[in-house]
Formats: sequence, structure tokens, C-alpha cells
Amino acid sequence: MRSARQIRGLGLALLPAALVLAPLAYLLALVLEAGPGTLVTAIGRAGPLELLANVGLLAAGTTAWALLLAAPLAWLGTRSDLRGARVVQWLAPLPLAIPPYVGAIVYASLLAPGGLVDTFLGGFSGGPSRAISGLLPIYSLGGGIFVLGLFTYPYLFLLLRAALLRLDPALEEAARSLGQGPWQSFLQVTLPAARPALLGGGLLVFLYAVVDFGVVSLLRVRTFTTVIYNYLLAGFSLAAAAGLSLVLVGIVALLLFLQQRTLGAGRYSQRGTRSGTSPRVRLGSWRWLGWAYLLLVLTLSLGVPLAVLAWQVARLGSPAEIAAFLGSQFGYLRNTLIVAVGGTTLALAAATALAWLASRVAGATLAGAFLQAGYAIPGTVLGLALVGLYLRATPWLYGTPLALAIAYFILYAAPAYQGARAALAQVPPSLEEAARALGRSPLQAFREVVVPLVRPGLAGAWLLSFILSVRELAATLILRPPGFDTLAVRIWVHMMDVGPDPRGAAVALLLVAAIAVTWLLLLIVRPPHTPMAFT
Amino acid sequence: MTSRVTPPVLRLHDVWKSYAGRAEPAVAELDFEIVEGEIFTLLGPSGCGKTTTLRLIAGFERADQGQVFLRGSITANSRHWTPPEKRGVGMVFQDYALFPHLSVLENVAFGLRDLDGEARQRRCDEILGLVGLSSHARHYPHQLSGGEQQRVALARALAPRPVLVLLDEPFGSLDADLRRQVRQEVRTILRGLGSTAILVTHDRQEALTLSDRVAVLQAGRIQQIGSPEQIYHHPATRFVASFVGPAHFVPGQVRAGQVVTELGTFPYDDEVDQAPAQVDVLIRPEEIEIVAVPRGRASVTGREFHGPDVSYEVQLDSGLQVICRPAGPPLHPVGARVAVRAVPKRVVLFPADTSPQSSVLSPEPPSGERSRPWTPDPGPGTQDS
Amino acid sequence: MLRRRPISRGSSSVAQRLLAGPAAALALTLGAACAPAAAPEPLAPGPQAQPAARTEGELVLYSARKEDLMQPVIDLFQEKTGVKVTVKSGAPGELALLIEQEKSSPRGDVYFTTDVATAESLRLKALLEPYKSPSAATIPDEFKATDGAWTGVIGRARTIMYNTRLLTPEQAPKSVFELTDARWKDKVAVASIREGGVRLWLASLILQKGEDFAVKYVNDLKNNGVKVLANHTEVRKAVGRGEVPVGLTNHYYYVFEKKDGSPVDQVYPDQGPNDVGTLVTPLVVAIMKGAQHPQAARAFVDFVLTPEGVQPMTTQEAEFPLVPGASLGDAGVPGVKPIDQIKRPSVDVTALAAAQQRAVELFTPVLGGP
Repeated sequence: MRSARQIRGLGLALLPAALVLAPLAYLLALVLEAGPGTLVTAIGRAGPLELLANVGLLAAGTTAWALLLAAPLAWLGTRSDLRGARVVQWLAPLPLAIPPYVGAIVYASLLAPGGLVDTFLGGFSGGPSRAISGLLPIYSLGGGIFVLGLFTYPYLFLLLRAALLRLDPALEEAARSLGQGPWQSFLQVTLPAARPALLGGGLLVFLYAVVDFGVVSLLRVRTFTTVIYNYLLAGFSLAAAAGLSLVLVGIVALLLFLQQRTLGAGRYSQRGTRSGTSPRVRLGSWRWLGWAYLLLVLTLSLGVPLAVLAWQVARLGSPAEIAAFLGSQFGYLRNTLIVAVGGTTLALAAATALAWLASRVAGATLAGAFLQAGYAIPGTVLGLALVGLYLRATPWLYGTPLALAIAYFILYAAPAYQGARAALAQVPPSLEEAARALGRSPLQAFREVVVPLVRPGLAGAWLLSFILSVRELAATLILRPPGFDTLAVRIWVHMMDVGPDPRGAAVALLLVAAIAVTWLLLLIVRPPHTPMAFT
Repeated sequence: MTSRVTPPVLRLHDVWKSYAGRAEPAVAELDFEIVEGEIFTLLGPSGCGKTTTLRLIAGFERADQGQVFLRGSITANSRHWTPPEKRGVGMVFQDYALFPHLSVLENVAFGLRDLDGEARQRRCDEILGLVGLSSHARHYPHQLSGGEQQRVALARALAPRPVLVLLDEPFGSLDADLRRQVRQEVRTILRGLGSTAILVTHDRQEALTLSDRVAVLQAGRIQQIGSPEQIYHHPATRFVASFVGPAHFVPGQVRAGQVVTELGTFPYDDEVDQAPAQVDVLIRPEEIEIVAVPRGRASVTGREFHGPDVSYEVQLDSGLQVICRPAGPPLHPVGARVAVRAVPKRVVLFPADTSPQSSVLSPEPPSGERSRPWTPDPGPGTQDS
Repeated sequence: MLRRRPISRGSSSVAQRLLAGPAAALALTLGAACAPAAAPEPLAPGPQAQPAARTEGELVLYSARKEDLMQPVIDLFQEKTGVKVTVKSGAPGELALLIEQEKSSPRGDVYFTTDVATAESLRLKALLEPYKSPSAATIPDEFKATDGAWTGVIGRARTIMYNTRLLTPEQAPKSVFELTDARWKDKVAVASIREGGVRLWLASLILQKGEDFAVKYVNDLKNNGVKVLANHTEVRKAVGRGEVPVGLTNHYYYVFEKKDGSPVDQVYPDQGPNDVGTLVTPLVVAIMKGAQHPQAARAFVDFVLTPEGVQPMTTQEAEFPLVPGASLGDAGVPGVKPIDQIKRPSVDVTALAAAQQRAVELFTPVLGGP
């Protein structure tokens, strides 16, 4: 089909993708200009095999650890009779509000040799203790995996939980009636059916570990991103950094492509009007284990970081001083919200449009793939590339908050796209066709029928991108107009040059609060629960 | 062809559609007309192209070739294509496709945007009353039973007074008893409104009870179009014969004005139609009589009780197996020796080969209908592409 | 449970209001985008002598120095001249790369960096506007670019910090070159080559002793179990906790650690008559080429080079001024010496910056750290 409408649709789809491709093209131009020799030496010197192995281990380990944390929680909340399961639903995703690099700082200060834990224990033994820090080395690949998994498991949890809720109870009942115990039916029926959620969430976590910089640099893990950063700062070579960044983008693109192949087009709309619940497993005395596990995870991912941060903040001074300081940060909060909301909303709009077009217009799927490529570009490299691009193409744009919002759009369109695709996949095509048969144009049908139904899912996708944008540091440092700092920048400012001070912890708490409040707002104004589990 | 004062509601002319990656076309050489007020059924097994045809009419698919006319105006051809929202064709989907976030009333009102508030409310009340759901106006789809949802879907499609309403396997997800009841209700509603409707189904019962005319499809092509009686008693091809009802093709020999079979001898005028020596005769189970005969040439190998009648599985000594379904209480136990003979209403012959496409030899279906897809009719009022 | 919703598509549901919120914010952002940036000043023609008191109303400062350390001097400057200063903080290398990317339309006026190598790299790419401030006349030549493209303001010394509970002053190392001895095995911490101070130190080694020596020295250090930590803060903390007895840092980290109450002291290494001396690297200020507010920029440079201007910068962490006559802050912390009391290697800082590139190439595999 090559109607005019199709071509228009394709053009529309390519526009946001072009926005992501532009900086990639710029980086490529830089590399080519410097000559391929630069890139080859840069890669060679970085020790590519060792790097790939490190990155692979880090990402795989993080994913496994996150799964270990998320799966039992999801199961407890949806399949067990543990009272207070609602608590799980509300608290478990909250660690997303804590930027992983803040988590890394917290755990480093705790578990570093001679750190808080050692000092605390040393108080008993009368001398510096190395017991815990020797056993649990935080400055290592293991430490990186621990922290990254701890603060990214909510992604997996949310997706798993939604999948488990959506699952047709008949499947599990059938398994139970065939004699399979709860554990077996979980393994053989539930888990396979949740495969899309597992793969999607797993990939999200995996990718996050691949492109993360904050945590790995703090915890001294050598990966692609730290090597790129080294080249930038120590070598002043944007070309080499650009080249390595393109390699990183390539790796991520490959992973996304593989995900596409495994999941397929992924239409898993649910038939049937039964919105029943799955059989609940009676835990009996095992429920203490369930509670203990719940408590452990929440303590590690929420309790400890918040406590340490609060303790740091307490060192600032009197409550009045603390309040005064926090009050002075509200301008930065406003800045953060402006660009994060702007960039995220742009990303969601483009992602939704592309996801909708993906099944209707040939080529839109490819555009969607391009849209996601931005996720892999290291923030500093993207920032510098955009500066060059803006000044060449749209100088009036540079130095405005919009320029920064666009950077967030480029970086975080991928999670928005994944979320939008998943949400749209749940709407049976017959609904849109029915609307069209009743006189609505395709766009009207989308607005009046699809949007109301996918709103919760889209809201979730928006929130995910929003959280990532609020935390973003590297590109923000480059692109922000002078004087327009965000909260993440302020955290960094209090750690720059000569080292960290307690005010950084205060701003970090403010950042966490900002995310948590936005989240709560979204939950409260959730539209009434529509049947067929359109979550 | 009789000239028509008003153009047919729908006309398909030489419509073809293929999907990429498949060797055979989904539909081929589709050509038929539908007149006002008729209930027309597309009948066939899954994959025969009936849903594709429906979607081509609705505008959700685009034909590779051919023309679609609605009320005489060109709706789709190689140059021009009207999108679904402009065709005025209503559709009831297999999964009902009710909007879950809207109430029943809002669903039904969805296609009535052109009316002002009062007129819209009036129309909704009217149509909801017609389907018997007035008391459910404020409910939401998930609060209704399957049958009620189906009626809402129908009401929604009919509310805007479409020129044509399409129903895609609308009774598929209902249980058997409900199905029968709902079928009758739907038929009453459609008749009451004088609606023109196209129904798609694989259920021959539905086709036979509901339709004014039936088109039997197989592998994307129309095998026969006719009234239910015509296709049941005058099937054009072997496939049609066996699809619209249980059928036996009993081998027989044509000799001197008669056809001789194991189940009896029937008159046949071989001067009118030239038939080869070997033929198969179409015999339906209800046309076979069964009598207990101690030394009969058949025995009962199975029995099924249906309530008003019984069907017997009978094996003749010659090896021929038939099912026989006479009216009345069960008389013959399994294992009994019996004699069977056929008493067909009319003798329908097919050539002795077993290709399902093989056309009937005789009798020809009554005039006015043809058993093969007809060629384009360049009558008055047609617009050429 | 029944939920009622009106039959209409246009009425505002809560969720629609929700989407309206971000839409409004989006509009706000777009509106902000259309807001004109600070109107560029007409470029002042040539190096005219302008009265320094009232100049253009604004200045944009790209600063790699800790913001609250810069803030006092900025406040003083604003008070004195009425110029409104906007600060963009960043890491030295990032800011340099940014300046390079912005060269067709510079947005900053003054670059204040903690790493003289970054200033030098910009000078070599002709991205700085040379300016010889009258206040800089008394600064030693080694801390100024020959064409005045950048000028040193305050200095940082590369010292050896040690934990007094683990080592007495007599036991403490006196020279960086003895750290390869067996008795310092596994007892020394340095920061990774990502820290500018480390890069400059390694470069100075290459210049003073030659590349072969430097390579051998670093390898010996590595074989001697030197711990490469992420940054200088980690080093000072490690020494303060006693995790390692000895650390190589900049002198003010000693000041911080001391203020935190840790049992530490520092040594200015290689001060002996035949030794090379302690490396002192400057924090430099520079004016960007094509700056929008050149007059304000010059006024700022002049200001920070005066004793009055440099005073706030030294008060908090005892970085010593390079302008003679300015008082040394933090007189209360023993162990910090003023510039004229430190024997320094006779190394040209310009050449030092160039050698840094070589150092990065040679030593990133070994000292690349995380």
C-alpha cells in the first residue's frame, strides 16, 4: 500500500526518529573527520575483549539479581494470601525514586573499608574492623551488581506484577486440577505466560546496566561508559569518545533487535469478560518467611539509603537551617520539573504515535527502532554533539531549556516507546475498527477509544521516562543554560572538585521526594479501573 | 437480467485479494449483489475467505482488483477507495468490540454524532427498546452477559441506520441454547427494521435458518449462491452438498432412465441430461428409511438419540456405511440386522470422481440461479472503472 | 460497582486534566524557548582602556572550581562592580570541550579551571582571548601563559599525606621517589588519572626525569601494590581512616581531612637541596574568544588577581595565592606553606600541559582506575 496517507504517516513517524539520528550522524561525522585510525587505537587501547566481558558480566549479574528480588515480591503480591499485599504494591516500586548513583554513594560510605559499618563495629572491638567490608567488597564488580540490581528491580517487579494480574486464571486452575502444586504450576504455567514481561523487564534492567555511568564509576567497575568518560576528560578527544559511543549504541541496538525477535509483534489482547483473580496460595506458617523477605528487600532498597541520607542531612545543622537550605533549592526543583516534564511528554507523544503507527504503516517499526537508539548514547557525548548540532542548525534553540528537554527526549524515548507499545498491544484492533465503522476517522478512533483505555499504561510509561529524566546528570551539565541548574546538577555540585558535603545529601532527599510525590499524584488521579485489566 | 429501478444495496464485481507470502489468493472472482432488506449469509469453513470478504465490504481491507458498489455508487476500485468511516456500513464484530470505558447508552450513541442531543437520546431509547436492553442503559459492558453484550453490539451498529450491517460470526461465543434464541431475536430485529444484513458464519444451521440467500465459499471462491432451500436441495457442487448438511454420495449406475444404487433405484430422465454411466447420488440421512429385517443386508453399528429423532449408523454388507435419521423413537438396537433404502425428494447426481469442486450433473439448480460464479453483468446503471 | 461518566467526549475527566498538566508544562517550556536569550552586547572594538568600575551588566562564568568556594569572590565582585554573574559549573575537561563546541557562538565569557592543561589546550586551539591584566604583573612567569591567554590565580601543591597513628613524622616518606621501596609495599594510595592533578604530576615527571624514567617509576609503583582510587577524596578518606598510611594528593585535601578530625599530617616532598621540589599547579582564569561581555570579563580577571579579590578564595581551604602579598588563609591549620616557601621544580607549565597528553597515553592502562 502506497497511498498518500501512508506516506504522510511514514513521514510523521520518521520525524522524531530523525531527532535521535541527528546526533548519531554528527558523532559519526566527528569520527570520520578524525580518521578511522583514532577509533581503532582508542578501541584497541581500551582492551575491547576485557571490556565486553566486564560489561556482559555486570549486565547479566544485575539482571539476575534484580529478578531474584522482583519475582518473589511479585508472586507474594499477586498469588499468595499474604496480608498487606497492598503494601508490596505501593512500596516495592519506590526505590525507583532513588537515583542509583545516590544508592552507590550510600552503600560505598557504609561498606567501604573503614566506612560506617566498619567504624560502627570497630566501636565494639576497639579498633578498625574489616570483618564486613572484607566479606562484602563494595568496590568491585559484585558491588556494582548489588547496587544496580537493588535500584532497578522495580522495573521488573512492575512488569511482572502486571503480567501476573492479567493472566487468565483458567490457566492456573487447569494446572492445579491436573495435580500440579503451587510451585510447579508457577514454574510451568505462570512463568512461561509471563515471558513477555520477563523479557521486556529483563532487557530494561540489562540495558540500564550497560549504559550506566554513575554507579560503575563510583564503585570502580571498568566498563564501556567509564572508558568513554576517561577519553573525554583525560584525553580531550571527543572523536575517540564519539567512536566508542557509537559502538555502545550498536551493542544496545543489537540487544533491542534481539528483543524484538523474541517477543514478536506481541499482541496479547485478552479475550473473555472474566476479570477474576487467580487462585491464591495459602502460606500458613511460611508467611513469616514472606514477611521477612519483604522486609529485607525494602530495608536494603529504601530503608538504608533514606536513613543514611537523613543522617547526613542531620549534620547540616538545626532543623531551621535544614529547612532554610531546602527552601533555597526550590528554584532548582522548578527547573528540574520544567525540563523533565517537557522532555518526557514530548517523548511519550512521539513514542505513542510511533507505536500506533508501527502496526499500520510499513517502515514505522524501523522508525521506532531508531527512536530507541538514543538510550545508549552516553550523556556527556550526547550533550556535546547536540551543542555542535544546535549551533550549526538551530542556534536560537541553544541555551534554552527546550534544548535540554530535547536531550531528555532523545535519551529516554526508549522506555516510553516500550511502555506505549505494551499498552497499545492490549487494545484489540476490533475496537478501533468498530469506531471507524461508526463514522470516526482513524485519528478520532484513536483519541476516543484507544487513548482512554491505554491511559494507565501510558501514564506508567510517562512516569518511567520522567524518573530517568529527573535523574539525568551528564547531558544536563553540558546543555543547561548557565544558571539553570537541575536538582541532579546540584547534587553533583556539592560533590565536585574537592569532594562531597552534606548538602548534597539534602538535595538528594529533595530529589527523591520530588519523584515520589509525582508518582503518588499519578496514582491518585488514576482513571477508574476499567475491566479487561487494561493496566 | 431484469433491470432494476433501484440499484442493489451492495455489489461486488470481480474482486480479488491476496496476502503477501501466500500462494493462493484469500478471495478470488467475487461477484454478487445484495438487495434491500435481505439477510445474506456468507457460509464456509474457516479460512475460506468469508471474513476477508466482509472486511473488504466494510473497508478494513483493500482489494487488489475489482470493484465494490454501495447503493450504486463506486466505493472501491483501482483508483478510488472510500475509507470505512464514510461508507455508512455497520459492523458487529466477533468479539463484540464494545467500548469498555463507555456505558451501554454511550456505546450505542457512539455513531450518532450527527444528531443533536434530543434526537440522539430518542434514537438510543428506540433502539435499546428494540433489543430489549432499556433497563441496562447505564450499565457497563463488563456487567452484562454474553447475550446482552451481543445485543448491545447489534444496537450500536444499527442505531445510525446504516445502509448495510455486517455481522462477523456474531453467535460464535454463545452456548447452544442461547444461540438459537438469540438468532431468532436478531432475525426479528433485522426484519423489523427492514435492515439489509450480511452474516458470516461457518455454522450451517445459522445460515439455513436466518438467511434469505446464502453464498457458500471455499478457498476464496463462491461455490454457489441461492436460497437455503436451493443450496440444501440443489447443491451446485459436492462441497456445497456436504457442507450444508450431512450427505452421502452413494455410487450408482445410470441405465435406461434409472439410477441403480445399493439404497434403491430412482427414476432419471437421461434424455434431458446426458449423464455418464457411473455417478454418485446425493442421499441425506433423513431420506433413508430403515426396517428391521432378520436377514437384511445391513446391520446397525451405532445409535444416537437426539430427542425428537434418532440417528443410526448402518453398515451394509457391501461395505457401504451410511447414517440414517428417521423420525420417531428408537426402534433398532445396535447389532440388529436391517434393511435400508433411500427415498430422496429429488435425485441429485454428481460425477463419480471425488473432487469437492465437481459440479452437480443434474438436476441443474432452478433457473435464476447459477451454480458457478457469473460473469460481469454490463447492465444499465453500472459504472465502469 | 457502577461508575458514572457523562456521555460526552469534551468534558474534563480527571485523567484529561492530568494530561493537561504536562501539556501546560510543555507549553511553558516552548514558551521559555522562545524567550530571547540575553541580548548579545555589541562587541567592544579593540583593547580600549575602559574604566573598570561600571561595565556591561552581565558576565557568564564557566567554573570548574567548587561552587561555594567561588561564591564569596563572585559576591564581592558583584557588589563592587554591579555586574551580575551567572555561573555554569562543570568538570574542567567537560567545560573545555563545551567551549570548543560553542566556538561558533560562544555563550561564556570567563573560564576558571582547576586544571591548567585544559586552559592550555584551549589556548593552542586559539579559543582564548589573550589579556595581560595589570594585576598579573607580579605573578611568577611560570604561572602565566606567555601571551596572556591564561593567568594563574591560586596554587595547589602535590603533597604526601600520612596517617599520624600509623607513622611518626620521622617515618613519613620525604620524597615521591621512595614510594617504590619495599617498605611502602601496599601502603600507598593515589588517585586515578582522571584527576587533573595526577595527570599534571605524571607530566611533570616526564619533563623532569624523562619518559623512560617515568614509565619505570610508575610500573614500579604498580608492582609495589599502589592502590588506585577513584579520586582524591577517596584517597584522603582512606588515609584518614588508616586504610593506607600514605596518600598522594593535593595539599588542601589534607586540610579537609584535618578539619574532619582525622589524625593526618602532610609532607611537602622532595624539598631537599638536591631534590626536584614539590609540584605546584595553578588554578587559572582565562577569557574566551568571542566572549559576549569582554569588558566585564576583563574586570573580573583584574579583580581576582588583586589581593582583595583573591582573599575569599583562599580563606576556606588554604589554597595559596600566586600573587605575592596576599595573605594565606587558614593560618590556623599547621602544615600549609605559602608559595614562596615551597621549593618548586623548574618546570614550564606550558610544557607541562603538553606533556600531559603523553602521560595520558602512557599511563591510562596502569593508572586508569575505574
